[in-house]
Amino acid sequence: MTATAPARPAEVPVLPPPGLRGPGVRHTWVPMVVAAVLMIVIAAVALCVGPVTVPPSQVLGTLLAHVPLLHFHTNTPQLNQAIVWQLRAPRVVLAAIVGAMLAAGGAAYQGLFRNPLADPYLLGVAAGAGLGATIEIVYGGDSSSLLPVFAFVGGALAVAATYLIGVANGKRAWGYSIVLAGVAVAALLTAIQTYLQQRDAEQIRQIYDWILGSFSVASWSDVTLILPYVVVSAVVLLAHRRMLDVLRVGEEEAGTLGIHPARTRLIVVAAATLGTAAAVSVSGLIGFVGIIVAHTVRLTAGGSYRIIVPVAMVGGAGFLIGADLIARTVLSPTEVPIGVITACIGAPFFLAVLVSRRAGVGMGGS
Amino acid sequence: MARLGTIIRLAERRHGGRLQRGGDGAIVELDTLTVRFEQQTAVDAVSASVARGEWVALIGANGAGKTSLLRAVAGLVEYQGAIRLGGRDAAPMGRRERAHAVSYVPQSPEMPGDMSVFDYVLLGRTPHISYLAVESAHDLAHCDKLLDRLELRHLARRHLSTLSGGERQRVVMARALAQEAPILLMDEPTSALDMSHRIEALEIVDELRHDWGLTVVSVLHDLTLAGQFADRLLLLGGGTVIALGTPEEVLDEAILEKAFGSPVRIIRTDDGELVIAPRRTRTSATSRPDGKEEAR
Repeated sequence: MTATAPARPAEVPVLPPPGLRGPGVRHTWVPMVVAAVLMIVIAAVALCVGPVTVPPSQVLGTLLAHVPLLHFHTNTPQLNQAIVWQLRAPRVVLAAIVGAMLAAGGAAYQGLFRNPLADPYLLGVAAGAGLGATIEIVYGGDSSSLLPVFAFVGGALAVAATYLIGVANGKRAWGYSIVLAGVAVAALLTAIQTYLQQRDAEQIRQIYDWILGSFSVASWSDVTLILPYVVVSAVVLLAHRRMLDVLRVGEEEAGTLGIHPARTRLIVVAAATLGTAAAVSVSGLIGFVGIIVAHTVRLTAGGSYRIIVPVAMVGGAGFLIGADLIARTVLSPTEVPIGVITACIGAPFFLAVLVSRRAGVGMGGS
Repeated sequence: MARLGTIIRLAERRHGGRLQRGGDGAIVELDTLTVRFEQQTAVDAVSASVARGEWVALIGANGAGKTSLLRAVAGLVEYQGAIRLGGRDAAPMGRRERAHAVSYVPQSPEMPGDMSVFDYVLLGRTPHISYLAVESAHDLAHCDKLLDRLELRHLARRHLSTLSGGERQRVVMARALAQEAPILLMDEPTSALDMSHRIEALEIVDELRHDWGLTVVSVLHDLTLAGQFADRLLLLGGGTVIALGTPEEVLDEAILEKAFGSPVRIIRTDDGELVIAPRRTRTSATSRPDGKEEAR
């Protein structure tokens, strides 16, 4: 260096050429805007389309009539108002919340475990929720109002067990031992769940319906039931989005950057678990969202969790609203389980993104 | 390696007497620093001090305790004895406070392949950003400046997986420098580089050290390079200090042979630099290597 370049004066800041400031953060709004526009368009279509097609103007009128303090009066027929506000709107909102939670939880887990195949069910939340739901269905009698509570508690307890076993197994191999603990806990709980449902064969159908996931009975009470947990979880995950980047350099180097990796991980795992358990408690075990949305965002918007977490939330919301729209319209009046749709739509879409990005990488070099 | 019988402690004389040591001038002080791993003592009662603005190279055979000493200063391992940074005891320092004082470049840094160079360098600002906040305009500007200084501007948006060895090294240094810590610890920073990139990387460190008044403590396996770049050499053997002094003092055939257990020849070039050449102990092709990699 000294031989080739003259030494620069010490304290003179070297200003970058105009237009190159902050290269790592420019255009961060582009993926966010794209995801948000997509979500709004899909949500609008979902509110209009169904066995009864409601014109967009009537949908808008109905929504505005429910905005507090606006005192908006709409000419929309009562039936259409009821269809939009009582049937479709809660469904859209619930799908959006669940999609946002699963996608953000998946992104957080992939960052924490530095594993591209990590999904929010990695630590046993799905197995726990499945067992909780099965217990409620088998022993809970006719009332199904407690089903989300059982599923939520089951999911949260399963992850807590996984975490305690994984941490007890030694601090140093954190990711490794906790993932193995998750596999073991999930296997055990799934075995118990399978035994319970086999014993009561008449309820198998009901249990399977729940496991495959559905928003067919979504209501505003479901939304208000999970909203507190989801808000807390989303706020914590969003606040930790930069920490997820820091954790990617590993326990030791993250420590020399001034953070406590173990403490930070525990907070993120707890938040992701809270949100995921709340989401699956009302939706059932919808698969694939946690992996596909986060990866699509990563491949299109870059590798920083500062961008991935918020964009995945919005993208996951849009994705699940769309999947639910297809689930209830494609074979109308029969509903297809939404888990089937997320996989059928998601897998080819994801592969297309993957292939196109790989080609782009080969050509463009970055 | 076997404990060496004699500890040769050389007078801590610095040529020119420009820098003071101990008291006010010392920025890193080790007082009977001891690092133990279960049965093994990796660093055994090492006392030394590093002056502000000085470059001290840690040299010694594999397992001599170089990396453990560095990791103790970085706050990564438990230790007995005392470490003072800028005159303050490091033990009660929080992680963030220590990250303000010390930046650390490990032997093989973890570099997530799909992270951009800019985002990676930005990680170095972590100690300056409050826990739940995101980077400020000042943090971005600082990283911008560093990218220019290390001639990484054109790589800013590239993924880490696409970089060459020399580029990776500069990027890792940029991340460490983004911390703005006065003390830079480097564990064999150039082991993966070829000769010209190795020199280039060390030249950058040397320039920045002079420009910004950095203090550098680094493990260097190449004794010739250590002699060329460091102000003083700390020669460790079996966890203890074998010699501490200027390159002239430490790079001595008898001392090095004791420390490394293998004979060397020291050649002085026309412009006064010391070249350390290993002597072959066997004449066959199976002659023993010079001990390049230190076991971690």
